[in-house]
Amino acid sequence: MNDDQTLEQALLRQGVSRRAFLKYCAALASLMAMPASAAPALAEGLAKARRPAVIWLSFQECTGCTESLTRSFYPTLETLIFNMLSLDYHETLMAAAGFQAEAAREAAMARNHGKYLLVVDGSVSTGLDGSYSTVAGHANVDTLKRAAQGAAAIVAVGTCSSFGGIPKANPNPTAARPVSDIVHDKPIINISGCPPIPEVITGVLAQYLTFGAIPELDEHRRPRIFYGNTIHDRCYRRPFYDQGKFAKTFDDEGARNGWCLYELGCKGPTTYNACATVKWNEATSFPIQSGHGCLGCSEPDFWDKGSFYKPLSTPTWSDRAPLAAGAVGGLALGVAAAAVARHRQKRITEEQ
Amino acid sequence: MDLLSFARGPALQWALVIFLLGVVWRLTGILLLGRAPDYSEPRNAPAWPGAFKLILTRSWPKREFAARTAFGETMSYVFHIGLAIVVLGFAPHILLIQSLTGLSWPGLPTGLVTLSAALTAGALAVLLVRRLMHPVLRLISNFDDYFSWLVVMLPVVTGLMATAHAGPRYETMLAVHILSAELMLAWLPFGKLMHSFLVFVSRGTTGALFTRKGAAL
Amino acid sequence: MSGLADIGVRIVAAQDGLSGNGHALIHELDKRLERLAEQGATDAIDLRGLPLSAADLQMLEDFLGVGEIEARIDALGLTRVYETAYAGIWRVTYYSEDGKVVADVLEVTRQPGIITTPPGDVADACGRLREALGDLPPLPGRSTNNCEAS
Ligand code: SF4
Ligand code: SF4
Repeated sequence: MNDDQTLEQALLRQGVSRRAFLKYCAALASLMAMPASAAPALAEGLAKARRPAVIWLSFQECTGCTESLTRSFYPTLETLIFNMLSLDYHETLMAAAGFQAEAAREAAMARNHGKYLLVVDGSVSTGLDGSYSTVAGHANVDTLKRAAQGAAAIVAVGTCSSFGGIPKANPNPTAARPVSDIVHDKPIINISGCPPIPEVITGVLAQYLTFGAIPELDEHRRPRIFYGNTIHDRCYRRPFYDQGKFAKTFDDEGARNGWCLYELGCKGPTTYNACATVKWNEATSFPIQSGHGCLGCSEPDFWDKGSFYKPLSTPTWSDRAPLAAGAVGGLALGVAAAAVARHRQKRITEEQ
Repeated sequence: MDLLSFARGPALQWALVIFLLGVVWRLTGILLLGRAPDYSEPRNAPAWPGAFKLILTRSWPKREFAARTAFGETMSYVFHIGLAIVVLGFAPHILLIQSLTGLSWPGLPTGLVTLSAALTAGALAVLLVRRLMHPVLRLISNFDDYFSWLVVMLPVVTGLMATAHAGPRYETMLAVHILSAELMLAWLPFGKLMHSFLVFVSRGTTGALFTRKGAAL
Repeated sequence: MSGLADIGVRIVAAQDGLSGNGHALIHELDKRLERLAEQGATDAIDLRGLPLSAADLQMLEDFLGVGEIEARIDALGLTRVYETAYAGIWRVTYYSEDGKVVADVLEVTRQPGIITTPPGDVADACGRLREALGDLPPLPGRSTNNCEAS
């Protein structure tokens, strides 16, 4: 495989015409919410781009992110893998296995040292020297450190690699950590979500490819273009929120009328993701459209932020014993204070 | 733990514990206080209707002073009513109250609540300026007055900012808003904000006393 | 499954469903068309990037009408291009290989880019033509020149 070909050359060789490419760029621009007039410039940039080698490492994860990626409708995974990137190592998707696969990774890393894009899904276990999660006898944490050395940038796909995700949920038995806790000297792009929206994964990769630079990131290192707004800000149920019309249960009148799901625990107001705009499954729908509140899956520690079904404005705890204790304590103090006061009053009266 | 989880979690719990402890402490302490026996002949037989009467009459400016107190009283009413609308009418607030007490009622549209909050903040600001400019008011004001003003103003302002997406990111602003409300809760029993519980108790007591003595209300 | 009969369905009375955004878009097109006429400036509007209801789209389609040209491009799935009744405003709809709309654009231009032959394709075609020509007997008195340079 010739990594020095431009993308245009590689595509032509594979029988993808220039018009098809232009069309692809129009779709990409639309997906990335760029002005439609930017599509030709995008095409020009992409055509000249070199196909970067990609090494994909999977750590403590459920493969949901890769599953999500393979459901990306545009660009299809095939076009992405075979045309746009040179995916040299992905345990789930590649044919090679065992020593052959390890060798392929080492070779790709050596050949593209300093230039390849490292994609990581899954959190990094650091407990017991990383021995909770190993591949081919190497702890994930060591593999990551090694692979990161030669990477131009790292893309953390999914909430697990971005923020630790479910493996890091209380009590975090494997001492799971996000990639950004382990690697400090490389640019990192987090594409969070559990899983992330497939078009967002491909969109970010395509954007990196096109402009050869890290996109503008938010404070959690997520690309602003997809994570710039909360679900709530783009939610089509928002007018109901503003009118104070809420579904109180999942099957009441309000739920049938499609009213806001805030009372049912929707975390849309504090969740930054593109679900409400890009949507899921070929833009068919997204969780809120299907009648379920947002879980906040693209936010750090979404698993440990209280019940998914408790409204955002309510306590994360439900034990009211401390409150009762406070009241009882207050009562005791009050009675004692009154007793002391009465005692003193009596003494003063007697002295008079 | 992020700030919002802290605000919704331990901070809220502690604030409520302090609030309950303080309020119950002060209320029982005051209500159980011994009263000096009154051996005088009561001028009016049951004194308690006077309690209600004074509660009502003192809620309105006296005609003689109306010209001088109207402005302050109007502003106070604007901010008290505005605050009540915001605290009791905004759906997320109702949900909080419901989760703690089980009581619930329908909420008001966001626009109306936002408007009330803005009016409340405005009235509060005006009242502070008045307090600072008015020589007598300034003389009788102490730390308690200013701090109580601050802990009421903060939740209103931060709440407005969160709604308007002003300042830091929404989740941070929301956390700050919740924390500021918790500060108010925790401070309430120990400062002049306790009047929210005591105002009618003290007015009623005065009213009953006056009636017994036959004083005009 | 107990069946859907238990789930109450509320039929919402039909409304015209127009959000007003379609109307605003036409005004926008008017401005851009003026710029095309006066300065030759081309532009494009992504229809999917705007909050348009189905009714808005229908209204827009009806309003803009159909002009003289329609083209279908077969590359990685279909692309449908037509000029609206207002010359210079083109509708370009891109479909994926399985028939889903992947981009839907109104282009304000004299000729949408997707129709124009890409320069690289011309050079390639020239080469291929020459090659094919090589199989035929040459015409007397004509030399071959290089088309890559053009
Ligand atoms: S359903 Fe959720 S995201 Fe949508 S308006 Fe209600 S609270 Fe916001
Ligand atoms: S709606 Fe919320 S919980 Fe659901 S996928 Fe989107 S960000 Fe995640």
